[in-house]
Amino acid sequence: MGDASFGFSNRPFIWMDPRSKIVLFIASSFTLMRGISKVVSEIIFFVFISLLLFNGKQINYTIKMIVTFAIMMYVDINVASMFSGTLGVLLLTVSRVFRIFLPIVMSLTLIVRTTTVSEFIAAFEKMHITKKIVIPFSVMFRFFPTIKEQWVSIQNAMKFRGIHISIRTVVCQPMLTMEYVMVPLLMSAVKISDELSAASLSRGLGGDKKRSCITKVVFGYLDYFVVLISIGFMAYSMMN
Amino acid sequence: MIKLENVIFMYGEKGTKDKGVVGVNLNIQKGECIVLCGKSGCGKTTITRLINGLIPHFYQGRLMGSITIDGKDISNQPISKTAELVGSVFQNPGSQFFNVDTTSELAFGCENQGMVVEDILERVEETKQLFDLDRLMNRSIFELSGGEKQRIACGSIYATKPEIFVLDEPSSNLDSRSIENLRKIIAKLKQQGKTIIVSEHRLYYLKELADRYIYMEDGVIKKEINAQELNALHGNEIAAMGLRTLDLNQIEAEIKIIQSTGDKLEIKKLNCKRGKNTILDIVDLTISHGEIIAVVGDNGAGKSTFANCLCGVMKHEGNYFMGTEKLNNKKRTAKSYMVMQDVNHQLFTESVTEEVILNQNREVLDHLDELLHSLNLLDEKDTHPMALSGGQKQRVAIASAICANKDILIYDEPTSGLDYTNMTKICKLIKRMSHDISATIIITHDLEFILGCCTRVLHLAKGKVEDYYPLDKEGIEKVKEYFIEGRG
Repeated sequence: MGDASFGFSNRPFIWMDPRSKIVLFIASSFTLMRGISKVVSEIIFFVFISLLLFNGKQINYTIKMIVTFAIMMYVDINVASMFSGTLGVLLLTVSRVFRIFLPIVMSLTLIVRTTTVSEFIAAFEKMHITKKIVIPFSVMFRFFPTIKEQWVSIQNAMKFRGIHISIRTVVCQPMLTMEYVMVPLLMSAVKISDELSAASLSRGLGGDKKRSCITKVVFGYLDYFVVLISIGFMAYSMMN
Repeated sequence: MIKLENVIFMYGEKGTKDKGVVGVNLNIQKGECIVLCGKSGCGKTTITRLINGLIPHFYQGRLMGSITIDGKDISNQPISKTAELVGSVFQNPGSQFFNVDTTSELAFGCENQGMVVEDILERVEETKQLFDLDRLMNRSIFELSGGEKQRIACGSIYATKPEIFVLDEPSSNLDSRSIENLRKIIAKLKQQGKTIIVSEHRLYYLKELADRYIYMEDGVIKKEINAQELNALHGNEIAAMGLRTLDLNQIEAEIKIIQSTGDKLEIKKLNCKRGKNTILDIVDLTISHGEIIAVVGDNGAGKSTFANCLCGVMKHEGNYFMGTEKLNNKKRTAKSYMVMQDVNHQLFTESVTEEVILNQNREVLDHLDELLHSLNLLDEKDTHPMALSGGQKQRVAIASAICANKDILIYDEPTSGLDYTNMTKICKLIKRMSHDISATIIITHDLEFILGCCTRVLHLAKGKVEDYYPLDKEGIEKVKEYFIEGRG
């Protein structure tokens, strides 16, 4: 049930503010843009995010990520140098690209898997961001897993009709394949978003009153620490 | 308390689309339980939307007349204000939650009202106790069954303590046990003196709760009937109004036993696992040619798994034979067709004709008109499938299955949310189609429907075959017992 935990919080050991998670996400993207030159600092950053994910009880996921990271590191340092020419370059590229992207994917996972929708809205409101932006963003948490559920059943429906989707059909009949996929998917997306909006409106979302939130959204020690480290890394990668 | 005076509402920006309501006058007292009933498209749902303020604040159209609650005009106050007075539960359990975890969902309404955190937690606790939600706290919404979702939906509304509860076909996607749970919840609300308005097709579970039935037809209130009057009516009179039965015990059934000579479909040693757990285990099952089988069982008994295995879209072990021919997964997928609960998932093209002949030889074109006529779709030949009504879409799906010469037809809850008239239509259709194909398998929670068209019952429980029996005299009693026991 991988994606079932989308927007669902397992009660982390130490609670983290969604805002510091966002700062961490920015930092990880930033370091990618600039590129960290030192392997050691890259490892430190990776270990840091892994620890935060463990804190959010994303154990299996984090272990998988650590293993992937270690393999990529090993390939980069030991294996790639054994091959010369194209193969060596290819191995090097793949392992580096993967490695650099991993922290970004992980910090994004940290946001979507360990934040509840309610916390998310509360954090945004504290940043005084208008509801017009906050509400669509928070609906997204619900929307993607729901669409994923629909997608499974659309795929089954296609099998019954003898419609196949493969690389061949995408290349040879791109428009037709698009149509077969998009028509049912769009229709159910429209229906779902309609029903979702109606339901949340009828429960008073978007009123003039200031919302409250059952989880206290306040910066704790961990958050200050995370923000400090994130800024540190950004500064470090700027200097290099 | 609630007053609708000369209300006219037409959907569409200019108010030109039909299916609204006309000249509605309705007075609802505090503490009453009102059931809105009538055929699909009669305007039941529109009335619920008028009361919870979604009309005119969300659904656009032309509105005339006045709707007031305790003297306050609903159409002129913001919907967030109405939300404090009126709580709504909707038909589709999958798309009425804003949060992903259940606890936040229970608190959501209160949070929107800006209540103090301590008070919210107290309310959540109280709701948990009252509706027995202990087991469901702190879970992901995506792990819950339809019935569990509907309980959370009722609970999350209750937490904000509105005086009025509006429920729009809340039982459509529920099994008999979950309906019983829903009944208990509504009974508790009534006990607390809440005003309850339910729009519903299934009436039997509301029998002891309803004070008044509002019978609608074509957007007009045709009759207001109080509970004693309706209960006194004979089953035939209720059916004539297009309504579902009030009493499961009284459903009449004719015995339909299939004597066939065609090839039998045999299933041997079916075993399906999810992770390490076996979720379906069927040792031996034989389906005679032309049989219509109702698959019943509680949520999670393995009904959908069975359907998915049978038509070969789910990974599992098992041997299947049709006569002497062995059928592997691929062959079965080619031979079978599932009419899904949400038919929107299986319409792919731009017109009914194209839809039906998709991936078929051009030869079928010769018989196309005949087929469409028999399914009452000839007039819609060139219409875009998405522009059709729910029932029409379902028939288009069936038409394409027939056209593709499918041998095994599977229906997933074909009657959820159907009134009596439309249900009998589906019954007839399924019976007619069943003569030409090997097997019709129907996953359903609808006793009236089972007794209307099925020939056999496959009862699954905890991934195993609990019982498999023909619907002869004994069988009819057995299946009735299963459904009615679910109530008690």
